Amino acid sequence: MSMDPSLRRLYEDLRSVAVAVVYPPGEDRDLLVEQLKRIGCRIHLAWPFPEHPPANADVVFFQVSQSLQHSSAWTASEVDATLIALSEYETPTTLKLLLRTNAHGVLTRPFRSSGILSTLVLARSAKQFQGRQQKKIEKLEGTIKSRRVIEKAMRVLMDHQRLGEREAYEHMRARATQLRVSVAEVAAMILEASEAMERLGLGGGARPGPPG
Amino acid sequence: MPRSDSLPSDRPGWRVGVLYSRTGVSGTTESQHFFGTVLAIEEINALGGVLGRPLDPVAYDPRSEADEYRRLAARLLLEDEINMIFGACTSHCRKAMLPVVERTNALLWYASVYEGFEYSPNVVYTGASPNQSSMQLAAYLMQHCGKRIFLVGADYIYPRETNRIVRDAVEDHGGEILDEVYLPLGCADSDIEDVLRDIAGIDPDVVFSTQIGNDALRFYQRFHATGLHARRIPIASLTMTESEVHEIGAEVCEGHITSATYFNSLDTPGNAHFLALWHARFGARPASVYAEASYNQVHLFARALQRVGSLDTRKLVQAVHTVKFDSPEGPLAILPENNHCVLTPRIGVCRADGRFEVVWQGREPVKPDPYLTTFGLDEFWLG
Repeated sequence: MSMDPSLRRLYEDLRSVAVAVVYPPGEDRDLLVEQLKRIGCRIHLAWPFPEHPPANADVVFFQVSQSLQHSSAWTASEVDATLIALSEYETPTTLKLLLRTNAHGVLTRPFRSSGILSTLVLARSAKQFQGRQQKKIEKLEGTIKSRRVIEKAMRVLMDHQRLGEREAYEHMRARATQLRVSVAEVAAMILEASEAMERLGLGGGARPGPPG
Repeated sequence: MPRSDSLPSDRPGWRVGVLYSRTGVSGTTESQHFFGTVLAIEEINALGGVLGRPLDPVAYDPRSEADEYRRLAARLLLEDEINMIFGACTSHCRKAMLPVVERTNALLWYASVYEGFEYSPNVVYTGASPNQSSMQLAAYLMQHCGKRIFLVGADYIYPRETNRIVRDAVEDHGGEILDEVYLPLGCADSDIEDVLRDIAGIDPDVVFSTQIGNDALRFYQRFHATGLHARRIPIASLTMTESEVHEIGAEVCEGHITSATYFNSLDTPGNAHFLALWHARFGARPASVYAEASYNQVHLFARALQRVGSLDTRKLVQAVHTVKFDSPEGPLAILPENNHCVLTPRIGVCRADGRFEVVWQGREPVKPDPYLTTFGLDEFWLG
């Protein structure tokens, strides 16, 4: 029954979270800021709408409004913070703007005290989930890329060194261990060397020439 | 005390709603809320009301049912055209009233200890938050009873959230939660027997119970009947107060521990005045923190009303942030940033006469922190 540690972190973090609020002054902003203070967040206010996303913020609440073209100027893909949109209307035009921001959460006017904490926690969780997915994707892309390099290098070794498939791979792996680098890096070295020889007109030079 | 020269009777009263259950699972506890409210209204009216007008209450009995709370709150706010409610005790009943209270921009005065994590501009919270009650209790239990703790509660939001907080506090300080059990509100006696068998088997240092109302009374009675005693395993609670003890007999409760901001036995001028009024009105029946907090909030309301002369929610809430009241438990104030009350936490142990010996109290009043933003735990640690 003990609290899930990640959930606990997600909640307890809120006390040290730096929150930027990009919204015009007034009652609506006051309500939001007062509730964020009750939750224990550190608040930084920004207005007029800044050209660049506020630096050093973990979470950015920002206005999305039809009258504000630049509200879509920065979006989730270019900001490292969790983004929570503060929407003025639910008209199709505003919804389109909202979608373009790729925000992790949204609050719609009139704001209410209850609901802000839930949105904050869920948006941070969604952002963390996205982050983990993104890292996974990057890692998979890297794996696919190095796999291609390794395959190419194997072919070079097989063609020019008359090694079998398994021997070619074993050779690279042994070298990688010896040099304390990855197999992909050894493969890249082989391809580079092979290309250099090619350019020097010594294509296949690594291969011992047939006797006289 | 609000005073005026003109007599209350010749002008229309200030209409207020009173919603406390006189029956159902929390009937005993909520009757205390009701009596405390009655006492304050009668006291204020006897002194001439507020600005020459008496407080004019309309009261219904929601029978400890959330649906009844919802229905009767709507009746008060929409049909009776009242916008001020003193009411609710359990959290699920308060939550049931909130939508209509907010929609009509009314004001709810809520006098019970609760689990925190709420703020509504339409509620004034005069009972204790976790940082004024359960945190201190957890620290006290760890220091004076032992680190092996058994949690048993009713299955709704207040017990579950309170146990989450207590578990974190206990586990962070090297204690152990041996089990965490929930029984439905209005549970069968056999459910209670099952839990008691577990408790006797596991033999914890202390049981922390968040059962409420009649369920709690039956739990203490069965605990006693089974031959278990506070000397071996004390039960700690936030809601077992003088009125509950009165109901089931002090011999069942002796040695058990309660955390509350008020005990009947407090020696303050405010309490002497309060108890004199109370006994004149209600006889030998003891007053608990539930009566006292309800009494307090009507006085806070009357003082705010005297300042603004209007039942407008916004004006009243602003005014209540500025008033002070020397209550039976000490001076009170409502914090503007969260509408919760500054209160002094206390821990009492039930004596053979059914009154509580205050074994610990905060050095000074504690600011309410309903969202536990300073949940550093160490500052709750009793010195």
